[in-house]
Amino acid sequence: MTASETGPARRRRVRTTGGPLSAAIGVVIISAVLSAVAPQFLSLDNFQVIAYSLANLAVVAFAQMVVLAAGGMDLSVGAIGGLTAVIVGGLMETLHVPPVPAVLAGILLGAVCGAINGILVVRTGLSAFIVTLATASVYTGLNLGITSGKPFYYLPDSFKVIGGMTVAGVPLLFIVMLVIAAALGLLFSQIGLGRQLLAVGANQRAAELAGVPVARSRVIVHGLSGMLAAIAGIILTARLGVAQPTIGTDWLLSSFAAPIIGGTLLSGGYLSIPGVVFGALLLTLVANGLVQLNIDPYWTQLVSGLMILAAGAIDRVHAVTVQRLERAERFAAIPVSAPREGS
Amino acid sequence: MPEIAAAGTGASWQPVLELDRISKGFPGVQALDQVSLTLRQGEVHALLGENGAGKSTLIKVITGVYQADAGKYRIDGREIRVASPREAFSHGIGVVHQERSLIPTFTAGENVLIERIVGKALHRIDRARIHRDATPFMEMVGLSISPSHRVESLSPAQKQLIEIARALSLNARILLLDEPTASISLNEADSLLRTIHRLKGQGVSILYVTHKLEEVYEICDSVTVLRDGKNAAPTSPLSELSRDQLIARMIGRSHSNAPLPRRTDIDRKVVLEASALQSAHSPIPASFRLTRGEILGWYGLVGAGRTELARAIIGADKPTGGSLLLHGRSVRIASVASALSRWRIGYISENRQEEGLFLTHPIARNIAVTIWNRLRRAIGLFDVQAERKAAEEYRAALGIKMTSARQLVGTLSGGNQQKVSVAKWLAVRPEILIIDEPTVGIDVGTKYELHQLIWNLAEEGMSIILISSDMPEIVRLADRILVFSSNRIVADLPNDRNYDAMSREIMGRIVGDKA
Repeated sequence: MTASETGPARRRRVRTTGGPLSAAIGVVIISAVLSAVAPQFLSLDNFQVIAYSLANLAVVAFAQMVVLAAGGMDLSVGAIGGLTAVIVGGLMETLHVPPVPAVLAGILLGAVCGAINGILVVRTGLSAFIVTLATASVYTGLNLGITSGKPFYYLPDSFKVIGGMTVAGVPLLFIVMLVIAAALGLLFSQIGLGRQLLAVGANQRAAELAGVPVARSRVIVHGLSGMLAAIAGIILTARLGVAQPTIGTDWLLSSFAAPIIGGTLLSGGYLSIPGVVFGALLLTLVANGLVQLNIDPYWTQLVSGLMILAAGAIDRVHAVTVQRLERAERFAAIPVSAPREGS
Repeated sequence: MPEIAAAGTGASWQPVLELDRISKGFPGVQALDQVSLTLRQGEVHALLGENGAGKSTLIKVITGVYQADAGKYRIDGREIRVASPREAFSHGIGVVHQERSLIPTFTAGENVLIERIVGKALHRIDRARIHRDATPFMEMVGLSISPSHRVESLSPAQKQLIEIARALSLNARILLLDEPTASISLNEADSLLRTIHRLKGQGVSILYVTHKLEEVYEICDSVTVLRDGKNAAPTSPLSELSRDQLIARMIGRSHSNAPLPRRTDIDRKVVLEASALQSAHSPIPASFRLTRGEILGWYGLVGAGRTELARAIIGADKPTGGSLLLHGRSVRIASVASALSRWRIGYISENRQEEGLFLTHPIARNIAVTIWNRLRRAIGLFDVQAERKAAEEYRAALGIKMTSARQLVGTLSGGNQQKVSVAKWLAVRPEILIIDEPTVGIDVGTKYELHQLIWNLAEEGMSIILISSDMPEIVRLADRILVFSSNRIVADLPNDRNYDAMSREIMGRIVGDKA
């Protein structure tokens, strides 16, 4: 007999596929309902609107997802996105930097902002919550100080055209998002670095004992998050055609909501990129559906909040079920000598 | 160091690991005092001792987590210094600690060959290949699950085997196993023991820490017993030792502390009676009685299910069966809060830092937390003066060394923290007090002060359940001893306070239960 015969392995699978699967089911249900009640929902125009919105939101969610997966969090995702947007806009408008170097500089800036978060977390030992709450204010302050709250309107056409470009009817920005998703998928499933980041998120002590450079990993993951936040900011700038200082101010909730709905564990160690995309799509569809149904879009927040609660509840039910099964199994082998009685 | 008559062991059994008079001290405690141990090629060597005897510290010295203050450490006859766990690895020492160190969301194979992922940040991870390469190591330990299986869904025993497979994948010739069967079921333990036997056949030398004597006799060749951080006897072949001799080495003699005065007349009035009580965490029905002014000792090894039963009594875990009688009346205790305020049953947690105290709060508030509702004045305002007065009263009674009642509890020593913990419960004036491992990690002087305190409380009529894994403590204090093993009460013994006879009897019951 080998030990494998005593340990059933069926149970935990539910939890880790639960997120992506329930998010996908949610997407199907909402789509079905909307196509039935809102005639405009199934139009090419509307699909493009959804695709643009999703392109931005999914990248925002990726920025949060990578930090969550490594066991941290980043409240400054929106601040980094906004700061990047105005810096890229400013470079192009006032310094006449061509779009490509401006965008690259913006991505670099995001990586630096993120890495600063990571270094502060590692060096000070403060929680990521406090550090990024503070740096969010710092980055937003820089943004508003530089711009005095005024957008950069006069971006070069060669940049603005990206926002409307399509390939066979599919917006280019949406394709950018898919490429990023694929790259992240590769990183976290196939590349050593990605696996190390997940190891740190799953069990930091064990990762340390196994020789993972934990501090360096945490700095890297924050840098990666900053980079993704910057890209999200640039995507939105390209789409709007204006570098708004207010970009990113409303990202916080959805940056957490999409990964959570999609099954990424808040405690770290597990992520699902399709799950995050479906989570982001779900949020996008809800906002879109409210518009389609002529409901005040101010209700969007309420529905998003309810969806987070629902996703959390599903996760909790799974966790409790798993605990119960484990306990039952642990005691299964202990012989009971006294008679059982009572209720 | 003493030579060992290698009875029944071939001359080819070379010493692979030798520790010669290793000492290790921490502030206030000498954890290891001139401990020697010889591990021979291809043997399974038991490391035994009571809780706190120094086994885990010794393991940590061997694996480079701690550095010894004095003594020699030799591998294959060469003296070495092991400054880090990595260096221990490089000498072929693999360890499976008591706490799990796996990445739960990774596959079995990835966990076995974790070093293929670590430090290869920019390489592509060929998971199929990792899984293929991990298979032989998993087979070596008798794991026949797929290497692509995620670790979090495995049983505790399977996880244990994965850690052993990981150690083997690093070419460990010396394997240290710290209580590998403590948290797994009997069947699984059996399979693990067979694996250890097979590894031994392949020439791996194994140091095996356990509490379970029948396992020792089943698989071990020789034994080192630690007691109070010292060798209870030099390393010896197991075949020379009977079970009784081994137990005698483990428990030794009582400390030279003055015996407490005999308890005068103990009232025989039953205060608390449990009848076939069980909960999800304490699944085996338990029955016992507690009388007025009695100190009822609950002895057992760590994990024997004593805390779990206590939690069922105070309503922290919901009882799933049986009944609880208080003064002969059946009661249902719904919550810890009502256990305290309505039924006057207090529980002092063994985990005082995490469950017992607010470390960042002042002493006064910690003591008064249990009586807040009494301190509240008419309109709900809180009487800070009264709080401080209550704190002062107990400080004096318990001899808590503090600068003021406003001092933060986190800044006190372990012993004084424990006194605050006790004071907190005394403030409620409970009728029944359950004290879980009151003196773990506390210096000897404070320990005896706490003993005296517990004794005084019982003398004043409080009924006390004393949960302890410290044999001298329980024999010194308890009027009656319930012996726990594997979640069951296996004996109910009157305590005659004769240490030698009692400790033998108690250990015999535990060993007898497990054999």
